[in-house]
Amino acid sequence: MKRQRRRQLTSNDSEATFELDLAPMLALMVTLIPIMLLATSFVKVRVIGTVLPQAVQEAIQQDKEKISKTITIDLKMNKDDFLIVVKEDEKEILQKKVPPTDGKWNFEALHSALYEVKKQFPNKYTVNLYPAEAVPYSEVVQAIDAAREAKKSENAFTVYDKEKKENIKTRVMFPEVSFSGLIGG
Amino acid sequence: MRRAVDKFLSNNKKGTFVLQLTAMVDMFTILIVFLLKSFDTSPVQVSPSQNIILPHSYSVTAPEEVLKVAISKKSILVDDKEVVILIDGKVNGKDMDLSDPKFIKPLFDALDNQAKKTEEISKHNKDHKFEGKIILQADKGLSYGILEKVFYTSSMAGYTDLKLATITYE
Repeated sequence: MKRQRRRQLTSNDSEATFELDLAPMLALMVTLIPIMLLATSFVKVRVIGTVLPQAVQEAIQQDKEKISKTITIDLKMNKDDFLIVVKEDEKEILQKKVPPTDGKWNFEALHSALYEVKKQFPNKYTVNLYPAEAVPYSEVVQAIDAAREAKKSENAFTVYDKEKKENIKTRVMFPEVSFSGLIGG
Repeated sequence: MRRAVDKFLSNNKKGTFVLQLTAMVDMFTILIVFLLKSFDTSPVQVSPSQNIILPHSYSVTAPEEVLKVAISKKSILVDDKEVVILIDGKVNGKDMDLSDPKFIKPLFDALDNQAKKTEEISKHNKDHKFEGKIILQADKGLSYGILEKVFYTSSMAGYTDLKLATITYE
């Protein structure tokens, strides 16, 4: 009796297992993958612009509208080095030179120099960029990148939010770059 | 010999077999998840023009649907139409204005036409306003000298809000 029951159980168990038919699923995936490979872009095009919280935007606006004691920050990009010149009402008050390393522009040093300038003038958001004619476009873009934001390891700057009446922290340094005073980019 | 073939055929009656697809389905599932993650959902797609290698940047701002100006080492294109031919990344003398060394005449004409078109449309459709915005796609190897001329000419045509197209790797 026991043996008969065991035999019955074993035969039922073998019938309970079955092979899942994955062929239709595979067919769907084989169709989906080429479509997605064609539609997906692995390199994305982005534009250099400004992503700013409301209070920072207001601070930039105030900076633009400010008439008395105009402070301008000029960034001269020469053959292989940078020169940062800060002027107050057209009078030069600060000058920093960023020397080259191995005959090339030192963007790390440029970032550090601009970070120090930003600490001194936290309400300034615009840099006037003066690249030399021979400077490649890719190096100009790197200089803009170096000026845009403070690194995560660096201290954020404090901006006063008028609506909330509190200080907020931002890592934005110089998001507005104007080329030789011609245009805003 | 004949007997051997018959024996083989009789033994190989069960020639059909079930293909083990589980591993393959697993692999494809991982692939689809990866592709879905890489899928760009921004409404405006800007694909780099031919012969242009865009510079790399950390900017994350998505492009807008505005007029596109592309500068390769061979030509300047406005809305995918070639307007100026460049020789080694420099503007031919005949295309320059003699009185203004930064002014590129054919480029100004093309941009001016585009501005007039937009203004004409804005008369009928108030949502379509002329904002003077341009997305500039320039080859990373070009010198600033040519870019300066394009910036200057486009600002003369009323396009002062310039966005520089760059690439961001995922």
